[in-house]
Amino acid sequence: MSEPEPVVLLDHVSFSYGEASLALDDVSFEVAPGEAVALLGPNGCGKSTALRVLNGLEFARSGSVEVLGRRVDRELMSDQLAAKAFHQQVGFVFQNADTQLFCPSVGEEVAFGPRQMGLSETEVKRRVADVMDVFDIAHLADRAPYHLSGGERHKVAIACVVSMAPRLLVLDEPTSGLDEESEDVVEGFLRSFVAAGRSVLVTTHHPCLVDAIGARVVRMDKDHRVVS
Amino acid sequence: MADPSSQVLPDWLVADDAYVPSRDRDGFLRRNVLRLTGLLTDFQVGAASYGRAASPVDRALGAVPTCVRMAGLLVCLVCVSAASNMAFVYLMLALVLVAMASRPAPAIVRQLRPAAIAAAVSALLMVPAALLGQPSAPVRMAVRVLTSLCLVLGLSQNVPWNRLVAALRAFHLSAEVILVMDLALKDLQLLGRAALELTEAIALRSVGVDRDRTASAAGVMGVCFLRMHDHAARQSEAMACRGFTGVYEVPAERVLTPSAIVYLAGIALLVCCFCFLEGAM
Ligand SMILES: Nc1ncnc2c1ncn2[C@@H]1O[C@H](COP(=O)(O)OP(=O)(O)O)[C@@H](O)[C@H]1O
Ligand SMILES: [Mg+2]
Repeated sequence: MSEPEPVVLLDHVSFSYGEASLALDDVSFEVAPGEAVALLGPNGCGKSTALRVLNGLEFARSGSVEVLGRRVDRELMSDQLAAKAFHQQVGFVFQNADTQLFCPSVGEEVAFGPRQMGLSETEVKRRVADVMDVFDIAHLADRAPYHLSGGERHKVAIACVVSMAPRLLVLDEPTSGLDEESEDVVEGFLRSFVAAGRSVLVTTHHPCLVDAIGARVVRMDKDHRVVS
Repeated sequence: MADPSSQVLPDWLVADDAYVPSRDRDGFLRRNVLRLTGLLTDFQVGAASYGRAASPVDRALGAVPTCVRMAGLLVCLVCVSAASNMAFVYLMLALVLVAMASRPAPAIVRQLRPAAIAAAVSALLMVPAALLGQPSAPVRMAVRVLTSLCLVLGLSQNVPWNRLVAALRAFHLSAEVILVMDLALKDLQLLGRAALELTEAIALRSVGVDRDRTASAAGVMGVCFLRMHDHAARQSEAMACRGFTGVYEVPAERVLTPSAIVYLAGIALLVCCFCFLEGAM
């Protein structure tokens, strides 16, 4: 069998915050190209932690993490260029969306990533317009992200990483706090994104999101392990 | 965008060309703002206190009621700043460093960095005194500041804020004073967390050249400020909704436990040392 190389590969990963507070215990799972995976489990079982580990915000105590063929470790993150390329390819949206918005307006927020990439201003404008259209947030362009409602903020946060054209989207509870219509927008986008051959990893408590994007379920239990 | 179920994605989003980041002087954000906000997180109250003691020393001290530790801390601080004989200050510094050495490396960094920075600043401030004929003044000042801050941070970083607040109760402070302290401590902690999360978010999205450096910097600072402000407002609203009547109940903790007595004996010993070295005994 010659399966394509997985986009995300967590291999027997353990992680704890400090000495005693175990958050991941021997966790293994993978995400294939063009696949959507949903990480489910009770509160505090380590879903967010797993996402932080594969984004290089925390480093596994044992086991290995590979994303897009590269090992995610201290070495990768301390190499400025490699880390930048990595962050462009992996779009991560935090559980708490307002912790990742810091620009004066929604328009600039969405343009931040493309500008960072050194794209021409016309290209930046095009991307911003496209993304805003996809997420139905064009009317918020001039508003301050900080004063949006929770659901609006969440859509903006997703739009911000999508504008960098990542190959893998990692979303921590993307539909919590969204109304039905916004939920449809996000789900529709994720479906098309996966259909275009990209990969998506989400954590969620909403079974309908899992169904809507046709995700394969990886379930964790409160002992911070993956249930098979 | 009529029918969300059949979205057409823009071509650039699904194109296969690879982005190659260029090396740039992006150091600005990374080096300055991130470091500044990082400093803020050093002051997080109870940063190390996710239900575990950082070291044997902290576990032992953890058994001592917090109000007793606060009283002991106060005595130590007074002695350190009042000592005219530097021997006592060096003794305290040695004790603090021993306690610190028992902690894991990240905890040491978190405690030592702000203390060292403050000590360096105070030494600088004392440079004029050195020029005016007191050559040892900057060093003395720096050592005092370093010792005091290590003492304070050792307590504040290793005890959760709710225990600090409960301890205040034992000093019979009025409910208002405790409420204000409680909110301030909590805010500081939340602000530390917020700064950390924003810092991470920026690092993740800083995939290239930051063309407008000052704007991103101002953004982080601004959001932190707004966050604190909003949090205070939301908290007071929530308190009102939950029937806050102006009475703030904090469960008091037991004071005279065996470990407290051992701890107090240790403090008494230190005070004796102080008196002896100051020539009063
Ligand atoms: N910054 C942190 N410091 C210490 N412990 C943490 C921290 N963040 C999360 N934890 C702990 O790690 C465990 C997993 O948390 P998390 O990954 O956020 O769970 P989930 O996202 O599945 O709800 C929990 O027990 C939580 O208390
Ligand atoms: Mg979570």
